[in-house]
Amino acid sequence: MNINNRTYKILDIDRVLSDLHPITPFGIKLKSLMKPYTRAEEVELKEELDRVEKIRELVDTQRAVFVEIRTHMRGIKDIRKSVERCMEGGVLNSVEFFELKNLISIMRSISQSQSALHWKIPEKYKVHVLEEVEKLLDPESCGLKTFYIYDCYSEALRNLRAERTKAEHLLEEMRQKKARDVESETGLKLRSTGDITISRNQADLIKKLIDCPKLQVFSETYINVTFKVRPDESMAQLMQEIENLKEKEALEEMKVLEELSQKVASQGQAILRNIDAIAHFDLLVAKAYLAIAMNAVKPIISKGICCTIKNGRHPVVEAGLKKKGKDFTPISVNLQRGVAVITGANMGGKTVSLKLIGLLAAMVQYGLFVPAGYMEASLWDFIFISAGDEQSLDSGLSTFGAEMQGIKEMLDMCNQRGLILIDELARGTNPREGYAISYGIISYLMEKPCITIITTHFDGLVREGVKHLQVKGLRNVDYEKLGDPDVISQYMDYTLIEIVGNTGVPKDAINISRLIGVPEEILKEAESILEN
Amino acid sequence: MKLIDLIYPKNRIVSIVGTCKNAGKTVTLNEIILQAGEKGIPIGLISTGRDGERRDVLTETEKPPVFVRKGTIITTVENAIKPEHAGIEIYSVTDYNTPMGRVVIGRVVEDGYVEISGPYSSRTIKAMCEEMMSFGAELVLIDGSLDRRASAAPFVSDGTILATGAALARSQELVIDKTLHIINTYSIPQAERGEIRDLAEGIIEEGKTGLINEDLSITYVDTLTSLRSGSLIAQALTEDTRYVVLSGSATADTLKDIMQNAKSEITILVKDGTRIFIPQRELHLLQKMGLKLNVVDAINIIAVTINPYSPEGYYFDSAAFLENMRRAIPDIPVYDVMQGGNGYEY
Repeated sequence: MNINNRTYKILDIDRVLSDLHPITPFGIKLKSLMKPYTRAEEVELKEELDRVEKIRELVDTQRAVFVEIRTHMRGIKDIRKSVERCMEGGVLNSVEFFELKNLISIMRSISQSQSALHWKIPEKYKVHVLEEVEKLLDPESCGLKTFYIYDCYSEALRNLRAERTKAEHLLEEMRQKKARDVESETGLKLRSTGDITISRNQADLIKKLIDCPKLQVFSETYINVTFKVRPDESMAQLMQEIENLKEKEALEEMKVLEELSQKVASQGQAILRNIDAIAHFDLLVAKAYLAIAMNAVKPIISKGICCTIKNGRHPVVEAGLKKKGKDFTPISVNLQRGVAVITGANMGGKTVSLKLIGLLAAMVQYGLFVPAGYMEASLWDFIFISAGDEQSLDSGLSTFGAEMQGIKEMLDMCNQRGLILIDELARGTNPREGYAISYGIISYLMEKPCITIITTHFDGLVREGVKHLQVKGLRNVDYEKLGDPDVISQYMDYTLIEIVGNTGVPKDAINISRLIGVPEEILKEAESILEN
Repeated sequence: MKLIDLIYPKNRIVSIVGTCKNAGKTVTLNEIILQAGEKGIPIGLISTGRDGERRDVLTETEKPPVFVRKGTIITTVENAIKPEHAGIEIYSVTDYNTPMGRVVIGRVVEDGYVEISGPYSSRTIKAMCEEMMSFGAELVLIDGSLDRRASAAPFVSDGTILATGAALARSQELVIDKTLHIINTYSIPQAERGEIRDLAEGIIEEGKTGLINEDLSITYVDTLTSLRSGSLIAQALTEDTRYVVLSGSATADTLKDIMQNAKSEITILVKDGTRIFIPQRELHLLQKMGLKLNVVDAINIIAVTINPYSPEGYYFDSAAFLENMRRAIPDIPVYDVMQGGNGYEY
C-alpha cells in the first residue's frame, strides 16, 4: 500500500492518528509502527475491524472494566530495555527489579480485568499472570510492591546480615558503656553520638580530657575541641569485623542480583510476550475509543473497485467547526472504476470533499472506523492526492511544475489499483493548455483500474463515461440578503449531486467576489464581457 | 528548648536553607536528623536538585552522604543506590530524571550512610514530600541548595531553618546585617485582607500581572517581557489602583517604576518572600519612597543557626557572635551549630 509523504500530509492522516491514544509506552510504540494494510492482507484487516467492533460493543456494556484496565495501564513504564539486557546476560540493579516487579504486578491486574470481559480474547491480546516471575521478585509472598534484596534470596546473605547486626549491637553497647564510664569519671554529659565539645576557654578541662585515656580528640577548631569516646582494642577489632562483614555482604548482594537476573532472563520470553499482548490490546482499545469519539462506523471492504460513502464527515474539519459551534455538512459519494469530475462554486467545499474521500479511504486501510453513516470501499494499492497549490521551492519548480511532477509519479503507478484525487488539475498554467492537458489525463486514466476524482473549473471536461458531480453551492440564495462574506459558508450547500446530461460549470465567481466586496465597477465590466 | 522541639510536631515539612556556602547547613541538617532520631520521630529526607547538567554532576558527587537511621524514608537517585551504602528498600521510582539517574523514594533498612537527592521544581518537591509522608515519614526535611532557596516557599514547606555564618562576610556586623536583610525579606507581612489574598492568589496562579482596584475589580497588564515590566505596569496605573500583584519576582527596577508612577496609595503583592530580590540599600530607599510590600503567603522562619567559622580561615568569637545575633533577631531562636550539644539549648 503506497501513500507518498505529500499525500499523507495533505490528507491529514497524522492529525487523525494523533487522536489515537494508546496509554502504555508499548502501545505508543506499536502505534508508531502502524502501517496501512495491503490488499493482500484483506482477511487480517477484516479481522481487525471485527475486533474493533467487538471492543466498541464491550466498552458500551462493560465500561467499568475498561476504566479499570486503563487505570492499570497508566502505571506502566517502558522497561523493555532492562528485560532485553537481562536476557542478553546483563545484571539488573535494584531499581530495575523494582520496576520489573511493578510491571509484573500490573500484568496480573490487567489479566484479571481482562478475564471479566465477555470476550474470548485471542492469544495475541491476552495478558497472562506471570507467577514464576512474581515468586522470584516477591520471595516472601508479602504482596508489597516494594523491592529489596531480601534475606531469603541467599542463606549466606541472611547469615552475614545477622552477624553484622549482632556485631553492631555489641559495638553500640560497648560504646554506650564507655560513654557512661567517661561521664561518671568526668561528670560531663556526652551527646548521644558519644562526643562532647569543649570551649578553649576551659583550658584546664581540655587538658584533663586530653589525659583521659577513654577519650580522644576528634576535631579541633580555633575555639573548641571535640572529644570522642576512644575505642579500645576489642572495639577496634569489632569495627574492623563489621567492615569486613559489610564488604562480604556487598559481594553477596551482587551475587544475588546476578542470580536473580539469570532467573528472570529464563522468563524473559514470557515477559516480552506479555508486553506484546499489552501493546496490541492497548492499541486495539484506543481504536475503539477513537471510533466512539468520532461517532464512526465499521467500513465494509468491497471486492470490486468502488467507493461509496454516505454522510461522510471530515474529522479534522469537523473538529475545527465544532469549536466555532458549527456543524459539518456530511458528504455522500458513490464512485465506481473510472473518472469523476467535481465542479461547483468557489468556496463550495470541493477540496474538502476530495480530502474527505482520500482520508476515509486511508483510515479504512489503517484498520480504523470511519466518520460516516456508511462506507463501502475497496482496498487500494495506492492513494494519491494532488492539491495543485504547493510550490516546490527546493527544486525550483513552479506550481505547475510541482503538480506535473506529482502527476507523473502517480501515472507510473496507475496500472495498480489506485484512488487518485486531483484538486483543480492544471490550474497553474494558461487555461487553454491546462484544459487540453486535463482532457488528456482524464482519457488516460479512464482505462486504468483506478477511481479518479478531479475537481475543476474548466468547461467541457465532462463527457461520455465521465461521472459529473456538482457542489450544490449557493443556488437558490438571494445574494442581496447575504451581505457579509463570513456568512457565505452558512448558506453554502456542500452536498454533492450527480449531474446527468451536459451542464456547464456553474458561474458563482462574480457573485462571490461581490459578496467579498470587490469594487462594483470591476464586476460590472466582467459581467459585460461575459455577455458579449 | 531543643531545636527539634521548635520544629516538631508543629511543622511537618521543614526546609533548611543557607545564606551562603559553608553556612553550616549540612551540620544543621545532621543535628536535626540526630535529634529527631533520639525522639524516635520517623523522618523523610529530600534535597532540592540543581539545574544544569554539568554542575549537577560535579556538585552531586561532592555532596557528603548523610548518616541516617533504619526506617528513614529518603529521596535519592538511581545511581546513588550502591552496595557500600545502607540498604534501601525501593518504594517508588519517579519519572523525574537527573544526570545521576531517576529520582527514587525508598526506606532505609539499616543504619548507615545514604546520598540524598531530589527534583528541581518546587512543585515536584512538594509532591514528593507528600509521597514520603504517605510512606510513613512524620517529619520531612528538605535540604535546600543554595541557588534554590525557593524550597523555603510556604507552599512547599511549613517552616524554614535558616543557616548563616562567618562565610557570608568578613565582619560579624556585616554577617548579622546581611542575615537580617534576608530575614526581613522573608518576613515581609502578609496582606491583611483575606479577599485581597484570594484575588492575588488567582492572578499569580495564572502567571499574570494584575492590578486590584478600589472596587476589587482586576485589570490585567500584559507584561510578556518581564524584564522591563515596570514601565508597562506604570502605564496601567490609575487613581483606583490599590494593589499591584506580581506573579514573578519583585526586583528593585520594577518596583521603582511602579512607585514613581503611582497615582494613589498602592501596595505591591508578591507570592512570598522567596520572590523578592532587592538589595538592602535599595529596599530602604524604596521604603522611604513609601513602598508598601506585602506577600500572599508568609514564610515561617523556625530558627536561625550560625556557624562562626569561615573556610577562608577567619572566625568570630562564638559566644559574642551568638549573643549579637540573638540581640539582632530577638523574635527568632538562634543556635550555634558548631558548639556541639550545648549550642542547641535555647
